Amino acid sequence: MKFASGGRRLEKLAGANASSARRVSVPRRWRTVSAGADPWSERTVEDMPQLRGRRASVVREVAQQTLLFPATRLVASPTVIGAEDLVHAPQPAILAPNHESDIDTPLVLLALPHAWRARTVVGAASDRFYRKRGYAVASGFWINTFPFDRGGGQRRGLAAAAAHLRDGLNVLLFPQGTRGAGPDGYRHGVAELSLMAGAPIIPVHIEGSALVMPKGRGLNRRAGTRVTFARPLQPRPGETPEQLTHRLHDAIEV
Amino acid sequence: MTIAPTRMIERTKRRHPAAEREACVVEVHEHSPPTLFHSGESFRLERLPVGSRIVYPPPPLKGLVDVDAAIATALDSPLGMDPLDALLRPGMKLTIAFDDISLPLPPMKTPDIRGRVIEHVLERAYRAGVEDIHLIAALALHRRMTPAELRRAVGDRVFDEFYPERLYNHDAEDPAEIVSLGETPHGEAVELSRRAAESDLLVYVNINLVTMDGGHKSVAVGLGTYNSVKVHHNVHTMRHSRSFMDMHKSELHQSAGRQGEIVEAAVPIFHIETTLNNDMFDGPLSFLAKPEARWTAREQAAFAALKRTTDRMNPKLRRAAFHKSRAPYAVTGVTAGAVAPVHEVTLERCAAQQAVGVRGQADIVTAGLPYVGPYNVDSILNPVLVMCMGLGYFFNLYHGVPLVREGGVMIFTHPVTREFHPVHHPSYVDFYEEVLATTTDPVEIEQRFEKGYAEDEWYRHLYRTSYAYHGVHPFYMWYWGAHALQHLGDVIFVGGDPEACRRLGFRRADTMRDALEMAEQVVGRDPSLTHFHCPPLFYAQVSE
Repeated sequence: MKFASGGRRLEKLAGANASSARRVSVPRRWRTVSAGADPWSERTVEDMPQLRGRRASVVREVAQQTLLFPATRLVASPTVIGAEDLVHAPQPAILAPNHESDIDTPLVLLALPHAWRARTVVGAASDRFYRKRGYAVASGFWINTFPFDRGGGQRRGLAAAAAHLRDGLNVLLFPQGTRGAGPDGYRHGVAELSLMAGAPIIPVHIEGSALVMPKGRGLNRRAGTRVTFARPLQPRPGETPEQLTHRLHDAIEV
Repeated sequence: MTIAPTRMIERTKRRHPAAEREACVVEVHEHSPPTLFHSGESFRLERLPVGSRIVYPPPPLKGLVDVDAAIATALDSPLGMDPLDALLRPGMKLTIAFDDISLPLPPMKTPDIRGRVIEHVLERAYRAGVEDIHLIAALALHRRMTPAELRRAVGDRVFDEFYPERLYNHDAEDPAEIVSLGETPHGEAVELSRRAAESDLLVYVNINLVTMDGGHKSVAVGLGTYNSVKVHHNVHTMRHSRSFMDMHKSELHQSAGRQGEIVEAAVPIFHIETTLNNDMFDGPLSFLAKPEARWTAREQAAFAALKRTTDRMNPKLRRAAFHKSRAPYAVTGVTAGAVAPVHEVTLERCAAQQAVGVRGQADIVTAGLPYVGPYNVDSILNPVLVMCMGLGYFFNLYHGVPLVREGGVMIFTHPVTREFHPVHHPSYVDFYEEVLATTTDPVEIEQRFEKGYAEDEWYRHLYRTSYAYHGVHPFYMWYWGAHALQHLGDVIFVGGDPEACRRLGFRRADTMRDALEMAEQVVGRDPSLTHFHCPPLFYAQVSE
């Protein structure tokens, strides 16, 4: 078959026909499905304490107030309830919000009074935030994280958090351990830490953030959110982690 | 066209515009430019084999200079009926029905011709002291029109005065508002909107975009129900409508005509038909209707920009942008009176704009499917609608014999994405997933599945209260293509989604060359090829 061959200029201008097959997005890293914990998910980047230094904290506060918090307010327009009562709460304490979305951490930090925020470190899952150096530096700088090793039964994450509590820093940990675990997904780690370190837990309830940035979707839409701080929970002598988790669950969800 | 009363048109001497249009059929030679193919919400440039024919739409006719005067003239001197003023009297029940959102395509720029005609009719009705007036969107089993769409169709003044009590959508599933008018001699049930059937006068305002529209089909189908529509919307009728764009050889129209006679006996119908030219692309894009060889350098650059933009655009934004476009149609004629004589004049006007004479059939016919069809205005052209668009409409845009020979191949360009509008097309999803996964044979589909979908309570509920097409609608889409499925040897979609094409029972290719190679396996070496360069809409008058 002989085809027409005129109009070269038009063809050149207009470019090739759009590729017909559905555009296949190739993942940068192939997802692997394996039984049990992923042996390759060990963190490769270590904690960066220099980002918690005095000078870094000042820069972080400026950066948060000028960029991170305005952006968070823009997409999540938070209503904060009970933050002023934190003045009377004992420090160091464990801040324990429910977890639906990546925007939860900036929301809580934004809601905290400066006296709390300046001394709060955030437990960030090391298998997610500490795999790549760039990601680790970014999260360490913007939201003051330390690597928290999830699971594994070795309590390494809890030990690191306890060390921070001992240093007089508040620790923000999500008792559900991951986003979107739901009201039944509370784990006992936070209660164990509280009992172990004798630190009070401040239950925080975040409402509406799942709509703003759902798990696996990125920024979805703008919506109103509400951050509520409840009264501190003191660990009672002889209380088991299960009982404390139960109280924590009731304080957050009910 | 003229604004002279239609009565004064010389009716004896018939023009045959199709035969005069030799310039619309162009042969591809060695130095021909690549050919434009619409492909959903994007464009393709394809090179056709030397010696292929391209059938282009005729250029748009000039619109009427004074549309209002033409409407007034039509109402004052109707065909086969008394003037409208003589039919109106105080205290009478007047119902005005009008075509729904599926016409014209794409929606025309305001003022919509329906609204203009309705204003004239209302003015006369008020002058005659008529007070009981209802306006009904004759949408049969289509989705209801939203208030905004109704406002666009009838105009602000009419909408503000009549909506929602006296301006509403026809509801074919409301038992209280449906009345049976009996049966035709062929045993076809005739059911109609109660309000229309019990009126003293029914005025129908139509837009005749293609020759399939209008005539008795307007009232009998538009205001009918599932029971009255199913007698001609079935596989047997579709296979014996050669084509349904040609009223005189269409079983569908014969059947609707018989129903129309029953309706006319029950209620007098004052039928107003309007025709438009084929000016579909606005302003800077008007070159899309011209042959590629006539594009100027500036138009070539504009096309290049358009194509590169649409190729890279976010699909959602692109769809929104395409569906926002409105056509600058001009009105080429308004005719009023009794249904049959009016429709005859209208068909002549359609032919004057749309008919293109083509000599001989082809082994392969190619066509690019655009983004919009009658059933996806502001919506998504899902795979079932793509099938209907290609095999139902494009295949059937002929008079005489089909453009493609029996056993030939049709090649379309369309991405055929598996996407459905969740509000407008709920039953389509199930049709695609359940019915097409079982079989693609129209007869089997009709026997095994139609009744269940048509009487499904949930689809009925969505049709009546939401903006969903009736549960049975995807079946009709499949039946539209029944004749083509029987006639064609193969159907190939260039750039189609593999899974969706397989589900529909078609083949796909990545490029036009591949598709032609595949087609050669069916029709033999060195086939004759004709490209049907639509849109703008036109039809081929094919002589053997």
